[in-house]
Amino acid sequence: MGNGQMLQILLALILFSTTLITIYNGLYDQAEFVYRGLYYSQGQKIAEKCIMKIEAELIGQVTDYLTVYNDYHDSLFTMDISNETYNVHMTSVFCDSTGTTTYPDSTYYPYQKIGVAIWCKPNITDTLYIGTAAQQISEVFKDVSF
Amino acid sequence: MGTTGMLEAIGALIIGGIFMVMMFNAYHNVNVAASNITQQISINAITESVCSMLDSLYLSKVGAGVDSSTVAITKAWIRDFKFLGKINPTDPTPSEFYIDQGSYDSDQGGYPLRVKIDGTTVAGPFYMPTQIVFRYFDVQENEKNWAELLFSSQRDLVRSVRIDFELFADPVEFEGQKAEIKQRIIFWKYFKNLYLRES
Repeated sequence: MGNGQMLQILLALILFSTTLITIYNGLYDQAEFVYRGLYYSQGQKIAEKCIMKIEAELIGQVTDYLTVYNDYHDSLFTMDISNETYNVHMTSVFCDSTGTTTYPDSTYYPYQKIGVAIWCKPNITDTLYIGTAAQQISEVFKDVSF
Repeated sequence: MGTTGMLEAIGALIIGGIFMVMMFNAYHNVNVAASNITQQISINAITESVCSMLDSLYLSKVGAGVDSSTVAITKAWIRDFKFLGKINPTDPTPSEFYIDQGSYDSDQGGYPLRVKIDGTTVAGPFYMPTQIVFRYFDVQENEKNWAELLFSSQRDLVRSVRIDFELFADPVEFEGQKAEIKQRIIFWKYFKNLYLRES
């Protein structure tokens, strides 16, 4: 076998390996994307729980509009779910009926926007954000107590 | 063909053979991984659908249209949950909803989960690799223990439930190994119809 043939075989091997690595890399990215989805789903369920709890307590008059505002104005807590710690940050700000938050915190207004931002750090990937400080999972509540 | 030529041919055959085996192996690996990822995407979607269905179609009916003197939750146990609620506000009497997990089915490789209304199966079976877990809480979010939940007076205090839930799919087996394709999700439901009894 001449040097030329040997070089051609080596080149073919390198090219094939490169293609293979690219395919595996693409698959790994896809798999990571899918597995992140598991944590996103769980994070959304946690956000739903937090908002549903407020809804139920307001309906049942277990709490009232201003207590909700004070309790969730800037609330940070963690929840351990399936060996993963989810950090939950809840905020409450007064707003108008469309959720526009142009009202100073100290000013009472009959609408408040509850926002939830969650993050966790599973082993498979970097920190995952399910809602962020700027883009929270949110719901607007109206004061119906008057 | 001389001896050298013959050796070169045999060498080329061996290298070519190894190369082909590598290619087929890689091709198969990629197919298995892609198939498992597709299965995982499907199981994620199915889990979300089942959760939404349980939440919006059945658990939202807990205590709906039930007189406050009646205990709406008739059974609150770790593997099953039975409650009363009206499907439509105009129904003359509440229906009995039953979310029940049966015993392990070796043919399906999982525990079947069914939803029944007045004894008729309306959803399921959904096979789960692990058993479902219901946990019940009162209005202060204190968890009710199992001994308490045997009594209707204690079940009457339940205001929310936490459900630990897992679905799975059958993965492609490769070289005797199977990837685990499953999704575990925990979700909560606050029974607003029962919260109305607080007001």
